[in-house]
Amino acid sequence: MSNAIVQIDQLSYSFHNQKALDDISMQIPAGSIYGFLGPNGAGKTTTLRLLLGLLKDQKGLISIFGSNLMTNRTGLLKRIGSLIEQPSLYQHLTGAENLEVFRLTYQVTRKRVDEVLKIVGLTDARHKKVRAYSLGMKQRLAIALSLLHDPELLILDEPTNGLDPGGIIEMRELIITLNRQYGKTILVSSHLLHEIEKTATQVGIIHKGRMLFEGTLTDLQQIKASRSVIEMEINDVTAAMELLANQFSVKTVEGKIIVDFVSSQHTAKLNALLVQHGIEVYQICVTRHNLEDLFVHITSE
Amino acid sequence: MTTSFYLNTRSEFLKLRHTSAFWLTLLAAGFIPAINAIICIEKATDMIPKFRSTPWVTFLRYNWKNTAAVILPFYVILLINLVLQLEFRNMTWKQVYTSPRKYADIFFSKIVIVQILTISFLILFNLFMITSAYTINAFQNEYSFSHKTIPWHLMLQLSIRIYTGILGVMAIQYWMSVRFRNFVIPLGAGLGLWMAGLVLMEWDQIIYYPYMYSTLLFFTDFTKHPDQLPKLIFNSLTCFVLVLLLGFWNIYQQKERG
Repeated sequence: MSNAIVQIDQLSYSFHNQKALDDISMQIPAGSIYGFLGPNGAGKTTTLRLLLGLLKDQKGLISIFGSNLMTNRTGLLKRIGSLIEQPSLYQHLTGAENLEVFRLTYQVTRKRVDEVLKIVGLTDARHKKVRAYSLGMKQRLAIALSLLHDPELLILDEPTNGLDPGGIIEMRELIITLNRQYGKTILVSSHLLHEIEKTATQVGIIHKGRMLFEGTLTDLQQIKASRSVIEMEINDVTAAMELLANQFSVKTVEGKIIVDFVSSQHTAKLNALLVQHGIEVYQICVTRHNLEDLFVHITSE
Repeated sequence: MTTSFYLNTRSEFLKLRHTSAFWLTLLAAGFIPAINAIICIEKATDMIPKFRSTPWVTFLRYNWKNTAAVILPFYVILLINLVLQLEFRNMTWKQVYTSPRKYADIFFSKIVIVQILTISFLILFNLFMITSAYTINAFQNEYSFSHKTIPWHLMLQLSIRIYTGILGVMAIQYWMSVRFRNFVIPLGAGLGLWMAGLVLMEWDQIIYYPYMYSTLLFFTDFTKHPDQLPKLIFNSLTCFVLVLLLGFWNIYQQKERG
């Protein structure tokens, strides 16, 4: 992938001889929302911490904007905004004071503080102490903080963690806005597949320190389609099994005939065959494996 | 580089807003002068004769003896703990380390803050001593503070000496406080080492024990032992520089941050 902003090749990392990442590779294209998916403890945070230089002594290559973090740390961090695990905020300071602390570091104008507060919708709460913020507000302030220096790449580790449904929707919308309206490339990790499905353009699935899948959301959906099945309710299961067994991969579950889904035409042909042989079809439907099922399927392999 | 270090130091200062750091400085600096004011006013009959010949020098020594031996080491230990715990408690180290700051900038900007606050403590302490003396005089004019000149030179000399004496403790406490997430470790070790120093005061090698340098720099009679002054100053400065550099190297080598 030539326009990859982040390129990871054969990355491995161990905590006290316990392997946390095993030879993972990933590429994050410019302008994408890369959904980094995996159950808790899969290695997502370790990968993100390595990307940001919070961990070192790894094996493999990490390249961001074509440079190495070890040789050009501050130069690269000027182009990256991040939120790792829970929001890192000074609870005794107000929202505006938290931003002021980092505004000095990033050497940006005071106007930028107003801008980022507006982007995340916290302008009215700017003078409130952070300890009085809800978790959703803290997450948004942490994102405002990561946006202060107008970075090209945003790394967000489980930004919806602990949020209520309303907060999750707001965060999702914010991520999409930042990508589409402000042109940020976003690497967002989550253990919730439906969240990634709703925001990401690229997906990487990690499990037990290994990358199981990487590709576009469309690629993932194609895999999903290939694992869909046709469920049929009919009057004579035995006759249908005899008829179909030679031609199709078929099984019965709870009195229903299950056949692997191939295409809509194939489904029509199957229906016609049953009817032609005097078998009454009461119901026929394609049951698509949703991404949750696929995720469970992939990660349990 | 200089601009960014200056701005980052300002940002470190901003983090102390709404914390007890400034109150701690104010209270620690005012405590002994306030207590001594009360004693001098309440026990005027006993105290006035002691202050008759050199009121200012005597009063300065009354205040400094507790401050150099107890208040200042405690203040430094607590202050450093407070400054570093801000990052641990709020889990903000990771944000600090993912901002475009050099490791040296992060490490040394916080020690600059500690220096500024310690110097502020010393300035305030001196101001409180003067205020205390004039307050005493307002209640008991036999003390004659207002008739004598304030010994500015002595005040400056004592302040510089004691400040130099506390630098070694500052560096050791700073390293421990950056290194350990659990605040009890640097706090407990600091107080323990200070108390051990009191027990070891008569030890002939006490000159190599940093936790007693501020005490020794006040209590040693340098007219009798002139060779001790440069030794103590040198030891304290060496300890400060060496421990800070070792601390920085240790933090720089860490495999995990934040």
